Amino acid sequence: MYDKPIHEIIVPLEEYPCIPDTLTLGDAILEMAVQILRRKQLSLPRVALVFDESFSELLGMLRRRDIMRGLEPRFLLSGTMEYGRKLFDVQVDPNLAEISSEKIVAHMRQRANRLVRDFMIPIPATIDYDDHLMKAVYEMVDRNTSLLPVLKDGKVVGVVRSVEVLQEIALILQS
Amino acid sequence: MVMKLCGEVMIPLERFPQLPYWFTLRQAMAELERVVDDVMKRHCPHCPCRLVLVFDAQNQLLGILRQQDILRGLKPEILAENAQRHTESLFDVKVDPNLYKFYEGDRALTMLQEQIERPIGDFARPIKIMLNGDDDLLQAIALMTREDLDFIPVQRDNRIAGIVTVLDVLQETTKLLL
Repeated sequence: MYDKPIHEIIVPLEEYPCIPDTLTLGDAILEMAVQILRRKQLSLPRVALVFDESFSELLGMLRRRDIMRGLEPRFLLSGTMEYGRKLFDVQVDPNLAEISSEKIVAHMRQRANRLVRDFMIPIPATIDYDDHLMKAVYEMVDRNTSLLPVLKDGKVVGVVRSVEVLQEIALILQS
Repeated sequence: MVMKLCGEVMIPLERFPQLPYWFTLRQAMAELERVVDDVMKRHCPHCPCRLVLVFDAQNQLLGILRQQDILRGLKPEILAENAQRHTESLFDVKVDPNLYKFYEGDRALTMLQEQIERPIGDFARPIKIMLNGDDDLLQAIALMTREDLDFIPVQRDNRIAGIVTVLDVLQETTKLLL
């Protein structure tokens, strides 16, 4: 009989990347890179939780994709996808390409000064500390998310990720 | 300072687990587990371990299966999207997420044992967008942000040669910025 509550598979908050909403995108990347070294991870975390400055309220989350959205040069943002692709179809002198690359990088550096709060996304769903594993499956699929913050008495105490949920399901099936 | 090309940054196709579409969710999970073990042992910084490439009988890439797609396959039928649509049309009410309680205890095990034998071809995501090996990373950024994707297949000589992921693009971008 399987009745393990979700809190037995959570990643505690102190072991998960958390950043304030007032951080710039550039600093958020640095902070996430520090986490790699601190926790001996292999790559940048997929998601960071975003809190207010006093870390008392969870405001949203920042995925790698959201950082890229913030860094993306403005000229790529207008028009349709086909228009975006056509911008790259023009043959240019390779020497000119280097100059334009430098301009683009300079532009992206500027954009790295923008704030996390402008690119974070809302928390799609949360799960309670004592909820069942199947509720996590339901919420992850229903909200199309791979991460759910876990609440205990209304406070965030950690996160549950799809990787742990799948590992737990594998264990259930082997038992 | 020139941006790298997608072909230089992509992870070659052979580094991903590859399964035919008739394999089950159980086999996909086992394959992912095996690759994770392998990656951890080699301490490889490129971890393509959360995607399974799904091929058809002619060995053509049919789609890509993510962990979330496996979870979608394991979701109880009673909570599935089509069940929800049906309920809504009949009674104009939403499926109560607490219905999952029906699956606590032994029922969860029985349900999972059934669902996990479903074929991965039913849950893999078809490939709709591709990059070329000589596209630069800006194009990858543009497509990933516009389409909200974490990975895009890259083709060379009209065949898919690898996959560029949001992690690789972000790491390359970071090198340019810092």
